[in-house]
Amino acid sequence: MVFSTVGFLFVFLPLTVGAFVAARRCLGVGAGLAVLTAASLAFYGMWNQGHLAVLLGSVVVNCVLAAGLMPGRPWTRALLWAAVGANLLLLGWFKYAAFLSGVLFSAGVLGAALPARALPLGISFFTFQTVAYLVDRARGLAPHMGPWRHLLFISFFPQLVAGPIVHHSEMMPQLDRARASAADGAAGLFILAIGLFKKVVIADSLAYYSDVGFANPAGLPLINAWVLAGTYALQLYFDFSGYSDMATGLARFFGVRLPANFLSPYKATSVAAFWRRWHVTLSEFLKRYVYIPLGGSRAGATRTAVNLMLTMLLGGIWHGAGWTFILWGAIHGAALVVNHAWRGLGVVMPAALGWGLTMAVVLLGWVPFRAESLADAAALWESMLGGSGEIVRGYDGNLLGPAPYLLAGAAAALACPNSVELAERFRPTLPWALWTGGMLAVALAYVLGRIEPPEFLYYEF
Amino acid sequence: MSSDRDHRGMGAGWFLVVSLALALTPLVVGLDGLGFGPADAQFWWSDRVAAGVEGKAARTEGRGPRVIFVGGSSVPFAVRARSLEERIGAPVLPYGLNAGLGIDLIARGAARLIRRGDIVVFAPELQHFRSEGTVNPALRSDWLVMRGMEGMEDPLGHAPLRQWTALRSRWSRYRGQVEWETYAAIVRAIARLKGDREWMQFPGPHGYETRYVDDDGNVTFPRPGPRSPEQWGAWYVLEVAPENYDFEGSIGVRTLEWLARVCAERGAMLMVMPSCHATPPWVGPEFLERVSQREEQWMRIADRLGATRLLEPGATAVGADGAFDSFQHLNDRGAAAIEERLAAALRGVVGEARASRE
Repeated sequence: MVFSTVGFLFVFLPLTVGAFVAARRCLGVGAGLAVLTAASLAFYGMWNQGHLAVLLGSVVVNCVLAAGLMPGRPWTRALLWAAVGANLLLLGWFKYAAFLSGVLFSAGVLGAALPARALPLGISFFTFQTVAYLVDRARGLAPHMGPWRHLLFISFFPQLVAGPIVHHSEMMPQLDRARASAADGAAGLFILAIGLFKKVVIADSLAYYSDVGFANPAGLPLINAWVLAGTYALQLYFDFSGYSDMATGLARFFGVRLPANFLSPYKATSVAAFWRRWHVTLSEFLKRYVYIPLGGSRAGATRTAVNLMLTMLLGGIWHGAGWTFILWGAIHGAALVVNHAWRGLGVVMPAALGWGLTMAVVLLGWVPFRAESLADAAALWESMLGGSGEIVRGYDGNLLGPAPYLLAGAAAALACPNSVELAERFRPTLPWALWTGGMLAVALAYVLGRIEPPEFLYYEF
Repeated sequence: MSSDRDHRGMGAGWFLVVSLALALTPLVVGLDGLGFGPADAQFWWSDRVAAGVEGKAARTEGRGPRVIFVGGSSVPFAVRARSLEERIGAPVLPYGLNAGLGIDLIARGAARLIRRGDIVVFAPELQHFRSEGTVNPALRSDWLVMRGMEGMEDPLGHAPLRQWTALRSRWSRYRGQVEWETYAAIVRAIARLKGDREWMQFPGPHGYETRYVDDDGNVTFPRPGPRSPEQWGAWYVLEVAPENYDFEGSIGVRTLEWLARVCAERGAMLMVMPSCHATPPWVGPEFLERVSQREEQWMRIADRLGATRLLEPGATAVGADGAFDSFQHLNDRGAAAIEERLAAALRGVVGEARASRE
C-alpha cells in the first residue's frame, strides 16, 4: 500500500490512528503499541505475505542474536560478525545474488545465472537499522529490546519501507511513551501535507517526462539533455523527500519524531555539504558504521581517499545491484576525494562556483543512477556534452511539457525553506490551516485523478 | 513547535477540523485531476485510427458492399484490412478503438459510416459486458470534447463504481470539460497546440505511436512475436466468472440493441463475432471454455435481434504464439490465422450481399 493512495489515506490511516488513540487512552501505552505493531504488520503484509515472513524471521533471529551480544564476553565479537554476516547474507540473497551470478556467468565461472527475485520491501532499510542495533549492542551502547519492542522498532509502518533509517537510541524512548495529541496531530498533518504535495503534484508530474527521456537518451540536443537530467533530479528529490516528509508526518500522529532526511540538498555548495543534506540518515549510517570504522580521515590523505571511495561505493551498491549504481557511487566517492583535497588547500571557493560545480557533479551522477544501462548513461552524457551537435530542440525534446513543474520544483528546491524549517515555524493558526488544507486538497485532487498512482522511487531500493 | 494554543492560534483541534475540511473538498465535490488538454494520451491513437477509417469510408462510398468491423482495439490488431479485402473482394473498414472509450461511443462513431448494403460486423470485447463497466472516463471525455458525439444519453456513464466522484459532479475534470463549453474550448485549443507529439514520444518499443497508423486506419508497425508474459496485461479479461457479467443491461447489450436498430434503419446487414484474442500460455482449456460460455451468452441476444453469426464462440481464439502484447492484441501470426477464418466466412456473405444489390 502506497502512502499516496486513496486506500491508505482514507481507510488505513484513519482506522489506525483511531484504534491507536482508543487503545492508548483506554488501555495504556502497551495496548497502543500493540495496535501500532499490528497495523504495521498488516501494512507490510498487504504488499506480500511471503515477504512478511522474511521480515518476521529476521526480527526473531536478530532478537535472539541480540540477546547473546553482551560486551566483554569472549563470544561477542564472533557472534557479532556472524549476526552482521547473516543480515548481509539475507540482503545479498534477495538483492545481489542475481547480479553477482550474472557477472560470474558472463565471466564463465558459473554455468547459469540465478533469476532475479522480488525484493522484500524495505529490506535495505531494516537491514541497516538492525546492523546498527547489533553493533551498538555489542559495544554496550544498546539495551536488549525484547521481541515485541524489537518487532515494532523494525516494522513501524511510517518508515518501514523507505526510511528514514532510524537509530534505536532515538526511536525506542519515543515509542515507549508514544501518545497522540491534537498538537502532534496538527503538526503531523502539516508535514504530511507537504510530503503528499511534493510527491503527487510535483514528482509524479515530472515522472512522465523523465521516463520518456530516459527511454530514449541518445541524440538529445545539449540543453534538452541537461533539462532531462534536471527533470530527474527534481523528480527524485521531491519523490524521496516527499516520502520522508509523509513518513515524518505519519509518525508524528503517534507522537514520534523521525530524524530529518533532507535539508535542501540542491542548495549545497560542495559535494560534502550535499551529502550532509541528502538522505541524511543514510549518510549518517555510512559515516558512523563504515567510514569511521575504516579509519575515517585520521590515517593520512591516501587512506582517507580510499575510505571515502569505499564508503561511497558501498552507498552505491546499497541502492541497487548493478554497474550503474556502482558507477554513481564511484562518481560521488571521487568528488568527495577532490572536495577533501581542495579543503586541505585552504582556498575558499566562491559560493556560486561551488554550487555550480556541485550541481554538475550531482546531475551527471544522477544519469547512471537512473539509466537502464551503462550504455544509456553514456549516451545521455554524450548528449550533455554536446555530442549530438544540436543545442536545443522544440517541444519534442521534452522542454515545454515539464516546464511548469520544473520551474516550480526548482524554485521550491532552491529558494524556499525546506520542510524541516517550515515545521519549526509551524503554528496551529488559521493561515497555516488554510495552507495545510489547500495543499492537501490539491494533492488529493491529483490522487483521485490517477487510476494507477506511481510508487515511490525509493521502494525499489 | 507550539503548544496546543498560543495567543495567535486557533488551537490544534480547530486546526485539524479546518484543514481536514478543506482537504476533503475534492472528494466532496468530485474535483479530480487538474490541468487542461487531453487527460489520456491514448486519445491520439484512437483518434488517428478513427480518422483513417473515416477517410477510407468516404473514399469507398458507393463501392459496396463494404465490411465494417466495430469493436475495441482488438479489431485493428486482428483484421488486416488490405489483404482481407483482396481475398473477399470488398472494402474492409476496421473501426476498432481503445476499448476504454466504451463500446457505445465506438459504435456511435462507426454508425456514421454505415450505408445501405454494408455488412456491419459487431465484435465487442468481453469486458464491455461486465456489470461494473470498463470505461476510462479521461479517455471518454477527451473523445467527447475533441470529436463531439451527439445523442449520448449519459456520456460519462458506465464508469466503474470507484470513479463515481470523478463523474457525479460537474466540478470533475471529466464531466466539467464535457459540460462546460468554455472549459472544453480551452481543452481543444491546447490540444491542437500540443498535437499528438506527446503521445508519439511515449517510451518503449511497443509501437503505439500515431505514425504507425496509416491513412486507412490500419496498424502498420511490425509485430513479429509474442512479448514476455508480464506484458500480456488486461488481467481483468481473465476474470471470466459469470457473476462479473451483465447480459441484460450492460453497455455491451444496450449498444448491440442500438446498433441492430441503426442497421435495420439504414438497410445494412448486422453480423456478430467474438473479439479476437490469443490464449495465455498459463491457462488451461477450462479458461477458453469459460470465455466461450460468456461469448455465447451475448451472441444469443444477437440471435434474438436478428443478427447473423460470422464466427462462433471459440473461433476467434489463437494460440499463445499469436499474441502481441496483451490478451486482445494479436501479432502478425495471430492476425494471419484470423484472416484465414474471416476470409472463409466472409466470401459467401459478400457474394450474397453483392448479388442482392444487383
